[in-house]
Amino acid sequence: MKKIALTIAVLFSISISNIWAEGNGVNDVNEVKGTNNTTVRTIKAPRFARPLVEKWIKEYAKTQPGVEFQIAKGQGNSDLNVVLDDKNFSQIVYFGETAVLPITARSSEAARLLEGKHLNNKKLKQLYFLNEDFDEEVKKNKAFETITVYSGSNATSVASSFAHNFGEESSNFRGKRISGDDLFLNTALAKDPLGVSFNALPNIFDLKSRHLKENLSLVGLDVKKDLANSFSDNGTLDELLTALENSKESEVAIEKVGISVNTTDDEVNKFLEWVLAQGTKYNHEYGLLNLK
Amino acid sequence: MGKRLLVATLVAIGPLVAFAQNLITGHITDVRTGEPLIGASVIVKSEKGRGVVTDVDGNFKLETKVEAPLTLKVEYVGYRALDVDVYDFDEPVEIALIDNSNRLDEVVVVGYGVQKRKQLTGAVTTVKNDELLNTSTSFDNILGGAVAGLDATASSGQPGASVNIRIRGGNSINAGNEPLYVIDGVLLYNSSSATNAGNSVAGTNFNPLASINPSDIESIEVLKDVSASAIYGSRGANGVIIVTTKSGKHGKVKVDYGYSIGVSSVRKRLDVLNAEQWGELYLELATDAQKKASGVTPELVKTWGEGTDWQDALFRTATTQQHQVSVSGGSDNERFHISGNYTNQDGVIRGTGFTRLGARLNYERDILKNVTVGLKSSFSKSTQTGSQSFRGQSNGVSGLLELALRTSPAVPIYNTDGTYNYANPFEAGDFVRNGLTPNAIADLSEVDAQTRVDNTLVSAFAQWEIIKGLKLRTQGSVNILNTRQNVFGPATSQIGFNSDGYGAVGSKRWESDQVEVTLTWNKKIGNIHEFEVLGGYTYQQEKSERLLGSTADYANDNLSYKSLQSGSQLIATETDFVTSVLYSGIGRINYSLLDRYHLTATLRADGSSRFAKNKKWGWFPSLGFAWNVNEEKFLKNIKWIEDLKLRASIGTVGNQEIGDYTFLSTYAATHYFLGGIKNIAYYRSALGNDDLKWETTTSYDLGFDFNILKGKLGFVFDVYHKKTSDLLLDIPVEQTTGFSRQLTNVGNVTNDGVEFAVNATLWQAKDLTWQVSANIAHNHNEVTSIGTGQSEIINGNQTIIRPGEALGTYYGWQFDGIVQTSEDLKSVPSPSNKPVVEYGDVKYVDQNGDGVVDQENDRVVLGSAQPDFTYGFATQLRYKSWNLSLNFQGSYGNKLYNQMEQALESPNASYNASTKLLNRWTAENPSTTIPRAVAQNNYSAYLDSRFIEDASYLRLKNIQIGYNFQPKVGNNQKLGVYLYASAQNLLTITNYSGYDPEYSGYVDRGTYPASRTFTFGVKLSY
Repeated sequence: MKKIALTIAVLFSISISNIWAEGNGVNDVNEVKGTNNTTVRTIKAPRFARPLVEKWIKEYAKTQPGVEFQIAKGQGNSDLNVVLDDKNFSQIVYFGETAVLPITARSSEAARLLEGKHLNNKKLKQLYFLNEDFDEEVKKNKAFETITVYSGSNATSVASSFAHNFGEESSNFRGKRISGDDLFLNTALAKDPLGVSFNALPNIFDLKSRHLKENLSLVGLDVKKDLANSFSDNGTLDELLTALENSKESEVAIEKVGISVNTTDDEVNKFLEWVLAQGTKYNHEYGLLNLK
Repeated sequence: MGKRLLVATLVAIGPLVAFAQNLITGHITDVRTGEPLIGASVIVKSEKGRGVVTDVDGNFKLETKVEAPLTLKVEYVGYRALDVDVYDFDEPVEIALIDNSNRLDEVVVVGYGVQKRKQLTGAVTTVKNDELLNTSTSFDNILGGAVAGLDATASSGQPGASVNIRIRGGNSINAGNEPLYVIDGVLLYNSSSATNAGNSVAGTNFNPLASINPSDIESIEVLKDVSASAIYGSRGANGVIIVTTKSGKHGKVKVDYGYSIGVSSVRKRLDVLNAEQWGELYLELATDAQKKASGVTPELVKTWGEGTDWQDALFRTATTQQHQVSVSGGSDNERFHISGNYTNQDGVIRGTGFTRLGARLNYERDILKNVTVGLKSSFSKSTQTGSQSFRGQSNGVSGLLELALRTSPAVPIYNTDGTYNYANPFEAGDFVRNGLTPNAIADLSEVDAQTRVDNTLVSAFAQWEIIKGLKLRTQGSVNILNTRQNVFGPATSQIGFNSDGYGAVGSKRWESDQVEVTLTWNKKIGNIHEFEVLGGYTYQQEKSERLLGSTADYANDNLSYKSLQSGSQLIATETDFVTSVLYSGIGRINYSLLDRYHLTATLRADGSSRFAKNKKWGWFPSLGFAWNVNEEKFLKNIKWIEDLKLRASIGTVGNQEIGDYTFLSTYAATHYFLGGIKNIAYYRSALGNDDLKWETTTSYDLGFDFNILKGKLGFVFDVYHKKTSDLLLDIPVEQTTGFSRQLTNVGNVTNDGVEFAVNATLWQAKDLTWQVSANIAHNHNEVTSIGTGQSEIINGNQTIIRPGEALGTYYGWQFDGIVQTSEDLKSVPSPSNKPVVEYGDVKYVDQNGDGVVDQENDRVVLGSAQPDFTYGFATQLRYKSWNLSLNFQGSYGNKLYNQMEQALESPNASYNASTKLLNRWTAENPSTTIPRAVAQNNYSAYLDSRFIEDASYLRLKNIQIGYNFQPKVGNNQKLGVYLYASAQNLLTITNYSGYDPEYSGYVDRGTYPASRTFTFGVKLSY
C-alpha cells in the first residue's frame, strides 16, 4: 500500500512536470518524433485558424499515413506558420481570407450604448482609434466616451488588419492591449461591460451551431439594408460568409491568410500542394472566406 | 507511514512549488521603425516592485507570482506608456510603442514648468538629445545650425573658449546680448567675466558653460519669442536657453561608458612669403642704414631659400581624449543619475589646451505619495592653458599668433645649439631690448599661463502636491565659480620682456544664490476648459570677489608665479567686491478652450540693484495666443493634416546686463606725489544717473506650426518685430558737469526677421530611416535712434553706430584702385596724411570731391557684420545597424574686417607679408589691386574697403558614421556597442581669406583659428 502511494505520487509529479514543460515550450525543437518514430512536421497557427489546420492534418493523414503533422506548441520554431498578409514573410502560400468584425459582450453596457448605432467607417474610426475626436453627435452621449477598446498586440493578432482597414496603425488603438491569442479578446469583453473589441469570424462564431458565440454581440454596422440581418446577432456564419464574398463592405476588414514556410522539406511542399488543392474546401466550414 | 506520506506529498507538489513563478517573455519595439527599445521598463501592475527593463535587443523576461490575466505597464521615455493585459504566458508579449516626438502632446520644458507642445503659444525650439551626441566638448558649440534664428559663433578656436550666441539678432549696444541660460532651473548669464580675475595676459575668454558635460544633457529648449521668455522678465530680452540634465529612470541600473580620441589640425594656413621672397621685399623697403645694420645683401638673400616656416612651428597636430561614464536607474520611488567625465584637449597652437574633470549626481525621491524631493548637482574642475596675449608694448602686433605669422622667415627659431633664438635682426621698436627680441615659439612653451575654474552647481528642490492639481515647489540653488589665473613670463618672453620677467596670480570667487517658490494649479473642467495658473517668488544674489597680485623684475625665473615675492618690482594689487540682487514676482496663466484655443498671459516684476533708486522695479507683461486650426470642422476631415497651429504673441522683456553700480556717481583711487612722497587721492570717475533703468524690448511674433502626413513632414514659420528702447548709451553732456559723457537710457534698435524650419522623414522602414531637417532665418537689424545729442558713434575707426544702419556696420574709405603711371598725379586725390601721391599708391574715393581724402569727410558705410541670413541643414540616415549623420551650418551676407590681411599687405622691413605682395605694383607690373611696397605707409592704420571681406560660409560642422552591435557577455547578457568615426569642420566653403569666417567679433586680427578634427570613439551600454 505504501509502495503504491509512493508510486502514484512520483508519477503524478512527473506528469505535472511534463504538462508544465509542454506549456512552456521546453520540448520546443523543430524535429519532433512521432508515434512511429517518424519525423513530425509542426504547424503554428493562431486560434482562429487552428480548427481548420487540425482538419487538414486529419484529412491529410488519410492520404499520407506515413507523414505526420502536428500543431506546434509553445514558443519554439515550427516548419509552417499560418500568418496574416505580412510583408515580412517572403514565402507565403495564401489559402483564404479572414473577416474581422467589431464585437462587444452580449447584453453589456457597451452593447446597450451602441445599440441601433449602425456605425459607418468614420464612426468606427472615431470609436476605436486615437487622434480622432468624437464628432458632435457622439459627444452628446457622454457615456460613449467611457467605452474601452480592447485590441490584440501579438504578431498573429488581427489588430493590424483591422487598423489598416481604417488607414490606421495598430499602435493607434484607444484603450487597452492584451497579449495572448485574439481569442482572449472575448475573455476581456466578458470581464468589462464597457468593453468593445474585434475578432476574426472563427473566434466570434460557434463553428458547430453556426451562430454567434453566446456571450458575444456584433457592433451594428452601416451595411446595405439587404445585408442587415446577416450582420446582426441573428445572422449565421454562413450568411455572413456569403454576404462578404459577394459584397465589399468598407467597415469590415478582410485579410488574406496564408502559410509561411521555414523549410525545404519535400513532405512539407507536398502538404502545401494538398492544402491548395483539397484543403481550401474546408474554408467556409471553419469560418474563413475563399480567396478572391 | 506518516513520514512517507509527507515525503510522497512533497515529491508530488515539489514541481508545482518549483514552477510557482510564471515566466513572461516579450519584445518591445518602436512602432515606426521596428527597432528594439533598449531599457524600456515593464512592470507587473498588481505586484509591487516586480519589474524589469528590456535588454539591448528589446527583449525582457519577467517572473511573477500573479496568475494570468495580469496587466503589464510598459514605459519608455519619449514614448506613450501602454498597459497590456497578458492572458497567455506561452505567447511572447509583442509590444510596439509609439513615440511622441511628433505628437502634439509632447511635453516641452518652458520657464518654471512644462507645457504640451500643442498648447504652446510661444516660439520654442527643442534640441534633441541625439543632436547632443556629437563630440563637442561644450554644448553651446553645437547649437549653431540647429535652431532657426540662433547664431552661434566661437569667440576663439582655443579649447575652452566662450561661444557667442545671438537669438534673433543683437538688441543692445552697450549691454549684453547673450541669452539667459537656465540650467536645471538655475539662472545664469553666460559671461566670461565670471571667470576673469583681471589677469588679461592669462586669457579672458574661459567659457563657464564649458564646465557642463554635454553627455549629461537630456534636452535643450530655446525660447525665442516674448510669450515664452517673458517669465524671465528683465533677463529675457536676448532669448532664453533652458538646459535640462538627465535623470534616472525606473528599472534596471544602466551603465554607459564612452571613450573618444580625436586628432585636430588647423583648417587653413595663411600664405606668407618665404625667406628669399621676403628678402627681396626687404631690400626694396629697408633703408640703407637698416640694410647695413642687418648685413642683408642681394647675394645673401639668394641663399635663404624657404627659410623658417613659423606657422609650421606655431601649429601642431593636437589630440583630444574624452572618457565618460554614467550609472542611472531607479525604483518605484527614487531615481538617480551619476556620471563622471574627463576631457583632455590639446589646442592646435602649441602650449594651449583644456582639461575638464567633472562629476554629476542627480537624485530624486518620492518621500510620500505626493511629495518629491531632489538634488541636481555638478562639480567640475577645468583648466585652460596657454595664452597668446601680450602685455604692455605690442609694436603694432596683436599677439603671439600674429608675431609668429609675421616674424621674418629669414629668422631661425632655434640657435644652432638648440636653444631658442632671441636675436631677430629685423625686429624694431618696442620689441628690442639689449639686442634681444621675443620669440613667439619660445613664448608658447616658456610662458606659463593657465586659467583654472572649479565650478559647483547644486540645486535642491521639494515638490508637494497639496491636492490634486495644486503643486507647491521650492528650489534653492548655489553656483560657485572659483577661478585662479596664474601667469609667468620670463625675461625673454614678450610679457616679461620689458620688466625682466612678470608674474601674476589672479583669484576670483563668483557666487550666485537663488531661491524660488512657486505654486502651480492645474484644473481641467470637462473637455472644454483647461487652466494652469502659476504664481511665485524668486530671489537671486550674485557676489564676486576678485584679487590680482603681480610683480615684475625677477632675479630667478624658476619659481615663476609660485613666488611673486621673487619679483623686485611691486605692481599695485587689485581687489574688488561686487554684489547684485534681483527680487522677482512671477505669474502666468495658461488657458485652453476646447483644447483648441490657447492663451498664455505672463507677468513678471523684477527689482534689480543694478538700477537707480526710483527705477529699480520693472514690470514685464506678455500675451500669447495659439489656435489649433486643424481641429476646426473645415479642416478636420483633411486627414493628411496632422497639425496646423497659428501663434501670435506680444510682450515686453528687459535687459539688465549693464554691470553693477553704473547708475551711481563713483570715485576712483589715484596716486600723486607731494614732496617726493606718494599719496593716494580719490576722484569722481563717473557721472551718476538717477533715472537709469533697464533696456526694454517689445516684441511681436506671428507664426505657424504645420505638420502633415502623420508628422513625417513638418514646417515652422515665424515672423517677428522687436524694438529695443531706452538703450543704455554714453551720450555727450554739458561740460559744466565735469564730464563729457553720461550713461543714459536713449535710443532704439529694431530687429525684424523671419524664420523657417522644415523637418522631414523621407523614408521610414524597419531597416532604413532617412530624416532631414533644415532651417533658415533672416534678421534685419537697425539702429533707429541714438538720442538727440549725437548723430553717430564711431568705434575705433572701424564701426559706426548711426540711425538707419545695423549694429556692426563698418565705416571707412572706399578703395578705388591703384594709381597707374598713365594717370595725372595732380588729379588724383590722396589720403590727407600722405599728401604726395606716387605711382603705385592706393586710391580711395574722394566722397565729397574736395580733392583730399580724409577720415572726416570721405568715409562711407562698407557693409555690416550682420548676416543677410543664417541657415542649417542636417540629415540622419540609418540602415540596419549603420548610421550616418551630417550637420551643416551657414551664414550669408555678413562682412568681416580682416585686419590681419591688412597687416600682411602693409609691408615693412621688420615683419613678413602676404604672398599677394608678389604681385605688388611696379612699373613693370601695374597691378590694379596690390599697391607698391612702401615702408611705413601712412594708410595701413585706417580701414578701407579692401579688407572688409565677405565672410559668408557653408560649413560641414559634423559628419559621423557609426555601427551598432550587441555581443554577448557573461550569462546571456548583451552589451550594446556603438563604434563611430566623425569629423568636425571637415569642409568649409567660403571666400573669406582669413583663418576662419566663423568669428563672433567685428575685427579679425589673428584670432585663434577653428580646427578640423577627426574623432574615433566607442560607446558601451550595459
